[in-house]
Amino acid sequence: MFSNSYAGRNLGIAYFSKIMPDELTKIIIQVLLGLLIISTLLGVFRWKFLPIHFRVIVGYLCWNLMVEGLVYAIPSGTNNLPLLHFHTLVEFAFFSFVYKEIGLFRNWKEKSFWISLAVVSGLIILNSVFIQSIFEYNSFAKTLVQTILIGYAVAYLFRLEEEDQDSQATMILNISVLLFYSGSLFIFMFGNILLKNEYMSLFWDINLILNIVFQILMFVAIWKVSGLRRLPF
Amino acid sequence: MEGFGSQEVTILVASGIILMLSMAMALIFFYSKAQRKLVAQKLQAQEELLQKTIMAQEEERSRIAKDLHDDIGSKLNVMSLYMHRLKKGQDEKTLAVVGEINEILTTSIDTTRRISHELLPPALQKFGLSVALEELAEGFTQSGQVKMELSVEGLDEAVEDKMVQLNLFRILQELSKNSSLHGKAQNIHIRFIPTTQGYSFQYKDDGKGADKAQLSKGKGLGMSNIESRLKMIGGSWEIETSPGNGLKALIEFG
Repeated sequence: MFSNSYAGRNLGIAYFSKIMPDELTKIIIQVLLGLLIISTLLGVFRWKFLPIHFRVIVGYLCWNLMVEGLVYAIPSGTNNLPLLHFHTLVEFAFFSFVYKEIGLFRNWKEKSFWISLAVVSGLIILNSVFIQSIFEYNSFAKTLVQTILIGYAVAYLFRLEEEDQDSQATMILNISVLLFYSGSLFIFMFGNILLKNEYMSLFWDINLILNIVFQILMFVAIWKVSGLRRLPF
Repeated sequence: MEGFGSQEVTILVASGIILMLSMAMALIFFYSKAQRKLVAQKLQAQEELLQKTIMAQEEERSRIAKDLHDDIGSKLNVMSLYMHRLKKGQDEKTLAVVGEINEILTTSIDTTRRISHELLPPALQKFGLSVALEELAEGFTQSGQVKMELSVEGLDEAVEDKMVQLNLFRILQELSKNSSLHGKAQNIHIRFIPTTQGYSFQYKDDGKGADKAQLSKGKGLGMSNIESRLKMIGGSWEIETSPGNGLKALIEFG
């Protein structure tokens, strides 16, 4: 099934449609790409100052950049939703490691974490192989992953850590995850149905805006923890 | 989902987005509130601990001052008396030695008295804050390091509470020490002013001053001590200082 939706405009989720979006959306996409590049470069150049969970985040941003590159490399008009299927798996793995490093699973046995990771990854793969075609939105897998990530973010909020610079940056990162994945949950949940919806582009534009917020907060978090001069805000 | 029309799906997705975002923002809001409360509680606990430490410090000072004066001080005085008795009918050599010992004893007695008074001025308990401040001023002036001038009329009538007197004394003592040691001041002026809303002390020195911003950033134990004592007596203060322009402080309380 050909993806003719504006869903492709979502940065970091590489199912870009090559149908030219309207001008404003184009500008937003450029801004998002710019933010992604800046955050990644900042993370890479200040690598040695970053705690481990932020290094994992920078790894995730590098992955996103790579996926964006692949999207542009794929010929226009080609259904690139298989990338989304793979991206979902990788996204889940990256954020699971991030929250493991933050200490969310400190009360778990090491084995339990790896088993859970394997089980969910298995479900994602099973969905792509048997349930939903790789050429359509993997709405089931995406819903599962986003729900889990929202769960991670909420669980972290309840920890009430000390006020120090590293924790502030981690909290900003956590808020970015919570806001983005909460706001976009229903959009991805109904991804395939929205293809036929008259307001489809509006919802994906909302997702774009949420993505901008996500990227801005990500940048602020990496800046705060990178040991550079304090931002004026 | 096939049963759902386009409109229903739109409403469902839109409602879902609004609901999830609202829940996320509510969680973030409640977390921020809880975090602020936690920080305030921690600060409060730290403040209480500091005040308890100050109280314990005062008790210990009082005990040591008493021991110094009543125990060591009195024994040194007795030794001095015996040395005077020893002087009678001695040869020159022995007299010279006795003289030296007496000198050392006198110095020791003076030092013990000075330390004891610094720890807890007896004048503060017996005669009130203004006499204690006068003694403090005399001590500084006699040392030759700095000249301290006081204008404290009406102070004892205005401030009757012993705890407030003690804390005010310590604050002014700390400020004077800083002016002398760090500020290298040569003159200190302390003025007591009753106002309509309470009372205030104007403190001024002609020392080398300091960078006010750096002073606020890197607060030493002395400054923290002053601020805790002010909080204990329900007071506040403002400092004006800059390099080369000395230090002015306005302490308000009551």
